[in-house]
Amino acid sequence: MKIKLQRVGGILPMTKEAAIEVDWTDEEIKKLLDCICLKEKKDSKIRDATAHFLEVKGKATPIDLKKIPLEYKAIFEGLEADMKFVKS
Amino acid sequence: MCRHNSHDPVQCIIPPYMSDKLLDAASNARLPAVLNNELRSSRFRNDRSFFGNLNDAQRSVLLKPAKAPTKPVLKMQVYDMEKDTVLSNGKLVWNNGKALKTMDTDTKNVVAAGTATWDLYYQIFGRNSIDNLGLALKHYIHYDNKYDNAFWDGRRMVYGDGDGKIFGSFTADPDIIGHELTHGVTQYESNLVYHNQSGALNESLSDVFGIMIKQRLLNQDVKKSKWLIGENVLKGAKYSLRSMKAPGTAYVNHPDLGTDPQPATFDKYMVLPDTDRGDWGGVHINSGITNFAFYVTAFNIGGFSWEKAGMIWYAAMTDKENFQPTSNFEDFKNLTIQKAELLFGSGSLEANAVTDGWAEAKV
Ligand SMILES: [Zn+2]
Repeated sequence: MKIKLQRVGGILPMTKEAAIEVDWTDEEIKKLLDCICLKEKKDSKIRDATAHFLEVKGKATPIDLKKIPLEYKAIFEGLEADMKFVKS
Repeated sequence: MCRHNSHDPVQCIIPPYMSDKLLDAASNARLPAVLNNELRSSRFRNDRSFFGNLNDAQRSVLLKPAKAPTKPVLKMQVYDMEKDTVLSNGKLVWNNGKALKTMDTDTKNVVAAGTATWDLYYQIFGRNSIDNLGLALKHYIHYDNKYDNAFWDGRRMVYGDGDGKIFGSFTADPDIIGHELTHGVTQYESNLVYHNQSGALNESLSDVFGIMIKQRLLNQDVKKSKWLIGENVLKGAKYSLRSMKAPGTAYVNHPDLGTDPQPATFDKYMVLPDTDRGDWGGVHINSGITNFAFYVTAFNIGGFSWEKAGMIWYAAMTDKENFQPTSNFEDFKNLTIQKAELLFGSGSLEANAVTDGWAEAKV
């Protein structure tokens, strides 16, 4: 299946994204999303912030990249490095 | 017991305030003048003896010099994140004028622009830092790996290095640094809600004060300034993040970013979703409209933007009674016109320039 990492927002509000094919099971994806999904509400005083989403099967979930488990780090670092802007 | 002739201050235990009380009591009791005078003379001799025999340390404790009113001073720190993203891991590299390691370009940039920001707010508007109470300015540089953004986290400014291809370091423009610091000022003043029109006003105020900080640092008047935000941050001579003079033209057909979507006039206001992806209703998009109103106002007044147009905008943005968290473009228009009339007179060139500025932006 295809997963897509997206970054939105910023002082220049642009969307960046990168996708990759993975052979993870549905259960594995669910476990990963449970671990990295953004649970707490973001500090309302932050300005010009960026936010990340992981899109799986057309559903985008807000995530915290700092929570990526060690075994997935390399994949997400690769996705981050490959992200391209979506032209406005 | 006080040994009146003692030269030992520790043993002379009647302090001056107590002898004052004795004197008052003597006066109230209508003691014979001769006794009253004797008491006064004795008190004078003892006070002189007491104070005359103090050493410097004792004198410094008892005779504290009168405090001169303290003049606000800039407090500022720079932390190097060394690509980390946990702000508490930042290493202090510059502290209140003292470099703790060799200053790199980014440290120099944030120190220069941070100082220029503090100076503009204090020297022109009489404001003591972000909170008007002397809050220390804290800059966090080299955040994350190739991070192409800068942000205000509610307490501090954070800057990425950029990817080096599309974006350079986000410390490269003083207007960006002034922009982030001004988010702090807004937070402590109107605390404009970061959605839709009030959010766009929040963004616009950061651009307005950001450009004034750059113009003052570079001694540019309204004609000399290019009115561009982030002209060094976005690489390429013909690109910048935003144009206040001509919103929508900061970057056109950029190979990676496309074209600047900012409108300059209210009839082109973009209704966008109030979400992360929708830029919270286009706060960085529709700010072009109020940016343009400021540009037209300042340009028509002439001279240095901060002297009159800036003064009007500052008076409006700090009017806590009338400028509310949910104020919209119309509210801010009315407030700036009112402030211009108060500061410069009804029908003055300045008040007319503000009215014309908003009319040009079709607000
Ligand atoms: Zn901003």
